[in-house]
Amino acid sequence: MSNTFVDAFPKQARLIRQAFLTSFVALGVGALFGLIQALHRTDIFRPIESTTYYTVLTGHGVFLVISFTIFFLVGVYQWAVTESLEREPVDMRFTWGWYGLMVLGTLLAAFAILAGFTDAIDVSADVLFTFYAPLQGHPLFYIGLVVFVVGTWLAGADWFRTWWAWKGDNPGKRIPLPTFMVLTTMIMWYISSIGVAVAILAFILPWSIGLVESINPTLTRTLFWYFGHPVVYFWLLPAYLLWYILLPKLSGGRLFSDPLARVVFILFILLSTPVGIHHQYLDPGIAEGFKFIAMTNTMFLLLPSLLTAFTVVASMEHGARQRGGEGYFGWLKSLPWREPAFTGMALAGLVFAFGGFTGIVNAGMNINYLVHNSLWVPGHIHTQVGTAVALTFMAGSYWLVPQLTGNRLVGRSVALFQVLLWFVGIIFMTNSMYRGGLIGMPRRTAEPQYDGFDFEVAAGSVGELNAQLALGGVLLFLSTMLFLALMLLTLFNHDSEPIDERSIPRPLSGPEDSPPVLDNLKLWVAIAAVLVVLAYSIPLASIVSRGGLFGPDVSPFPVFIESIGDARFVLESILAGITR
Amino acid sequence: MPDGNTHELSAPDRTIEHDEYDPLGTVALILLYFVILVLMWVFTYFIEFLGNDPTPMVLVMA
Repeated sequence: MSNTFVDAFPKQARLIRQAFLTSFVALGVGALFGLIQALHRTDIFRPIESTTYYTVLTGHGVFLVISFTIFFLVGVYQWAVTESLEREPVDMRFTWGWYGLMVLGTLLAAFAILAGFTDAIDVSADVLFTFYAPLQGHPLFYIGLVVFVVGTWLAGADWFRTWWAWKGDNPGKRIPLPTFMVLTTMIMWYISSIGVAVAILAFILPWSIGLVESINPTLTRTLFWYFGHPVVYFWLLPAYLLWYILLPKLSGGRLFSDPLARVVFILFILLSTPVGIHHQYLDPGIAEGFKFIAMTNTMFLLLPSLLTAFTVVASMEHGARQRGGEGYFGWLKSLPWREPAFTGMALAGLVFAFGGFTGIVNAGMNINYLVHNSLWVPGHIHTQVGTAVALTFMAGSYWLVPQLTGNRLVGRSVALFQVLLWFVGIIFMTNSMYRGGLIGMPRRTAEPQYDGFDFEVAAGSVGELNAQLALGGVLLFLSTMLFLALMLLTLFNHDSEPIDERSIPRPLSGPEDSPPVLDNLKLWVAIAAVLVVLAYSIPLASIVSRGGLFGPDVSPFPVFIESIGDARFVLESILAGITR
Repeated sequence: MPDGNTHELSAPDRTIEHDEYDPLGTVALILLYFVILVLMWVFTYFIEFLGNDPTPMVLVMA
């Protein structure tokens, strides 16, 4: 098949291959760290000290939810913009520039994290993905994050620039759907990542360098979660893009509704950010009323996901019916279940629908108390970003990478096994995590076993839960390695051709069926800004007025000093804090 | 973007246009999902609320 993406846009294909390569390296390291954690916290195999567990945990979080997901995002988005506008960036040097910045930022942060494994270098950042103050990491960690985020901002600017150039040549035309999805995602990202930028640049970085002595932890936590919830949609929306754009084609059909897809992405601009306080239901220092507002907004966020469930399933059903499917449920048999790209995404969607239920539990103010900071929460994360997103990315790669290399996918049936293995692995692992959370097992703990205390398990036992968690972790690790091996083999599978060509079928109901106001991006930005001001101005003002911008004399807890393992020092600092 | 499904993967047998397509299977699946959601909520209620005693009330005399 000669009509592939790499034939049409070889320079873009090269950049996207690089982005995917970076993403997959991060995936490999992150998966290894995940395996270590699964075996360590279940006490099955502990090759590392328990203090080192937190270095591994930080790496697992940062490499997977920042590096793997976002490098994959920029690759997919570069593909989507180029393919749907039929146009290259205005200046390719700028494009390589933002990619380079993202790599530099990743290397800096990765160095700060990985240096925690050795005493030879006096650098570490065991602050976990959320880097809550007063936990303090080495300044390089924060500088790396900032450089990385600036890289993503410039990537967004690049896509807007390409779109403006296209608009000049195509006046009055509707924004093509894939580009619309890219632009709306980036608007959401601009609005939300301001929070983490302010938290780092104004407070945490000056404090870690030593320019200021104290910090207001409630303020930096609130700014983190201002960014920390929308960032989950930054992971999710490229998966949505693949579900809306690629999955209908893979099913043998066409997208059911272009207008509905636009509405979904607009709702994410509006509602992603004014919800972050729902991660802080148990935080003192934020009034219940503001938490209630965040909860209400969060419940509205279910709407775009339910709209997506309808549109994507209806598009799949269209494919099945075109392939001869009949009946209320019989059409499911006519879907191309032997195609790994399809099956992986469909299973990812199924897990997402289940994880959605657990998300409603997290979002409810009262019932959140049952699961807060328990192992339930990593269970939710692993069904959502760990499967809905990660499995969709892997499945999408089975279609995208042949398009980007011009090579046929190696081992299609092994790929099918790989996505099924992931599905089985995640069921074991998250089943254990959810149930463990309900009986009060803590998250983020190297040794969650205690003397003189037993968890009360209604059905099963702690041993059974641990076995499931470890088994799931091993299966997920094997699945990741299988995926990476297939990608590597496909990269070198020269003298072959992909079995599919690059075209995406037109939606059943196109943009002409929707009001042009949907494409008025300025309007949606304005409404989103108002919602953010309503949800955040008073809580932030109240946090600052009570604790001060730099806090009521909160000293750092410097996890970058290796001697922190010396418990005496920890006790002394805590006692000093109490007696002061 | 071309109209039909000209790709080799999952090639369809016939073409169904917008007006002749009613996603009844989708409605069936979504209804099933909502039934499961409701059952899970009922289950949660029994496990987490009816299964536990009320929060103990502690009176502190000044």
